[in-house]
Amino acid sequence: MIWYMSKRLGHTALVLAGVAFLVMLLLHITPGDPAHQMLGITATPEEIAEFHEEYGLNDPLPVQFGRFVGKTVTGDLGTSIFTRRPVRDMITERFPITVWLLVYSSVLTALIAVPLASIAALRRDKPADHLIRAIPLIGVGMPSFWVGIVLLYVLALRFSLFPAGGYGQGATEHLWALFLPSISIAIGQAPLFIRSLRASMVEVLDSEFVAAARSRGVRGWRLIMWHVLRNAAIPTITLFGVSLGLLVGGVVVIEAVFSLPGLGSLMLEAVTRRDLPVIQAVALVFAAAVVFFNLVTDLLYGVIDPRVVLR
Amino acid sequence: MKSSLRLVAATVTAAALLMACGSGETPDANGDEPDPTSTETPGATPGGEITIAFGSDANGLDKSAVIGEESIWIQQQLYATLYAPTPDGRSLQPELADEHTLSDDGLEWTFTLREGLLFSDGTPLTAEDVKFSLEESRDQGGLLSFLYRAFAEIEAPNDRTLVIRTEEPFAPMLAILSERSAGVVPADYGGRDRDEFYENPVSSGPFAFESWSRGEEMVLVRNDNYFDPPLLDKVIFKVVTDDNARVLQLRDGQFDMMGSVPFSSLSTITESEDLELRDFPWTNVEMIILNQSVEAFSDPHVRLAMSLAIDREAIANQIFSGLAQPAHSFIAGSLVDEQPAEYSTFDLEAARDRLAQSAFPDGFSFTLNYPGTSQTVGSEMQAVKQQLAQIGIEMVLRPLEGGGAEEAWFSGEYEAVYASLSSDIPDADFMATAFTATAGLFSGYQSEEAAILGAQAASSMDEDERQRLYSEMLDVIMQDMPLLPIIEQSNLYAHQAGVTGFDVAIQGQLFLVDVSAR
Repeated sequence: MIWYMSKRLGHTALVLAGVAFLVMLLLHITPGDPAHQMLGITATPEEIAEFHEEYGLNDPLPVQFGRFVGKTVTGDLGTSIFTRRPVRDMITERFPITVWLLVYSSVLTALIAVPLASIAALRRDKPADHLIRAIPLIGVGMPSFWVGIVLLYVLALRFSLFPAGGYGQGATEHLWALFLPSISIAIGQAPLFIRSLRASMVEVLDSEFVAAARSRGVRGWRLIMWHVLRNAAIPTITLFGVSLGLLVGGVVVIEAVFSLPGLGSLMLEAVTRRDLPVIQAVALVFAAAVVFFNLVTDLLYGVIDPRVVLR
Repeated sequence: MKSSLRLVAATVTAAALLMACGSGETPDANGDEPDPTSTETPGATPGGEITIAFGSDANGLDKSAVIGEESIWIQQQLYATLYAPTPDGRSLQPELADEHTLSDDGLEWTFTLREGLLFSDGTPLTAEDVKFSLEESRDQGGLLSFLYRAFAEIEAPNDRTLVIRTEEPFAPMLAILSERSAGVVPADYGGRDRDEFYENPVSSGPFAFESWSRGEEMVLVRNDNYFDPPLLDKVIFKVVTDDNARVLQLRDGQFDMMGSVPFSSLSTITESEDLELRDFPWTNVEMIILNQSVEAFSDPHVRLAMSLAIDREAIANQIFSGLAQPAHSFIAGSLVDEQPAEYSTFDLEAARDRLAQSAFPDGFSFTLNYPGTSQTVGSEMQAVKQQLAQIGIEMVLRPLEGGGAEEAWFSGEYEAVYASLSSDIPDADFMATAFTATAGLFSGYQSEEAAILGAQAASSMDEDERQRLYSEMLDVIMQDMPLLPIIEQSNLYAHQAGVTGFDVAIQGQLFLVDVSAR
């Protein structure tokens, strides 16, 4: 296990370095200069040059990259050009909101997908199965921001069941305030999980050991929970890992609709303003998150299926 | 005897009642005479709080280093200035200053501060603090070094006197002293580090800082030490990024007021009985800048033809629902009264004639860069495109993302570009000097005559003469039409019907001192 973890950490470091360099390269070739934004239209060429000097934007790329890596490993993620605050503080402030959103929407997705997939698998080819497979597809078709706005309008504004945005203070308020954004995400994600889980459950339900369990009188939920789920889960967990990774970038839209000051909206603002240190740092955090989720899914395999050996 | 006593009593009572209701103003909490600039609504009750929603959060509270509209509007509540714009934007009124004198040679300004000024923490506000605050801005660089270019020396000979010396007579002095960055903070930040101070600043303005939950809301409370304390106990600035959500939440009473009203949602507000839509004049001008190095644009006949072909009234009515006026130059009509309207009044026949006289009688094609993220700008440019097509000119629309469009503009790598500019000071000097300093807003246009007129206007102390000079300068420039002025937008706010006393200056400053939500 130690060997496995150190190998994974080594991979992680390489991936992060690669992402950081790629982001820096892309920013370098993209038009847009924070100097003009900060200094205004009356900025003289001298002032602009001074600005570039101050932020090290004149140095060759490898030097800038080296400096970035050097500072990052000591925990210094740079200073925002726009707000002049340490980027690390800005990220720490917004990080919890995005994490809450990701975890909450995943839990809701699971709460929707597992029961529905189970019902569909147990009642395979019956009307319930068809309904469960067809209706959620509507969720996939609808853009999540539209779902979000509709839910906002109906449940938050019309019927005041939930707050119309913002994050709230304290865990209970978070649960309440983040319900609508999380369910908007879950509605789009659940259909894929339902299908994937149902498909592997159907396969497992046909296997011999399940037939054996059935002959012993095990039925319904007990059958699912103790025998089928663990065996059917692996492909769905893979899907889970991948979609969480995609979601990290995708929360931008939901954060905008529900006015949630998370990492997604931070990235959007930073890109619009060409706030280079913030863009680089947040990209790094996103990459680290994706890598982390992949690691978690791989470890989960080991937990769920004792036959899997992590090497 | 009894009846005459009754008569006296009645008379005295009547007189007392008359005196109480007579003036709409009562001495304020400090027992001083009411501020002649305060426009208290009779019957407005003190206390209470209001919540104002904007589309973005402030970026910080550093009055010299931080940019961004919301940051400016919020900071203006925290840091008072020597002078402030009057709500109608026509002139300036004293705020922290009591009065000023100007030396005969016009180079030395002496300001006397009001008596008994205090910061929100109770420490006295002296001329030393003002000196420190102005030097902070002057030494900042960027836009501010441009604004403060005339401030050669700043001195505080005593607690209530501030002296500023300039090298040339400088008419925009008071206007610049009303700008956000001229706000007053304690000298040496009260012993704190600059960044530390601006995390939790001490205020000299009508409101003091209480708390800030970044990205969500900032809470300001009444500053009782301000010489004209506001009615409200508290103002909360809330962030609601999505335009639709913001309008819906206002309609449902989630907050009292909102800024950045999207044009697409006007009907939601105007149809509601509980909401009021307010439009305030602004120094904003939207224009299309023409790169003089493009062959077609080097011909003034072409440029004039294009201007005459644009129906600005139609754009104002259809796209801005009448909440905009035609622009006739790059300086707003609220700053320069007489505008050279003849070169930018819709006349299709005249436009065709002009084009026929030019080197491109059969028209031509060019590309316009504009910010693709704004729906309103997109519609506006579509309208211009259709109008230009009527005289055979094809404008190819190229939506770009903010940074990209700006970069191309500043480096001159564009054919035509959309720009929206507002002056931060209630004075034409900013735009006039910026135009010359940036070679016609990066169009490549230069005019010695215009530059001289602008400089003369900056150093004349006679308001009427300055207006005349600016009008002349605009006439000189606009007869060459280096850029196409399109529209001047109004500054839109919407609030619940019960909110009173709210006003906005032409450079965007919010007047919250007299606001009441009761």
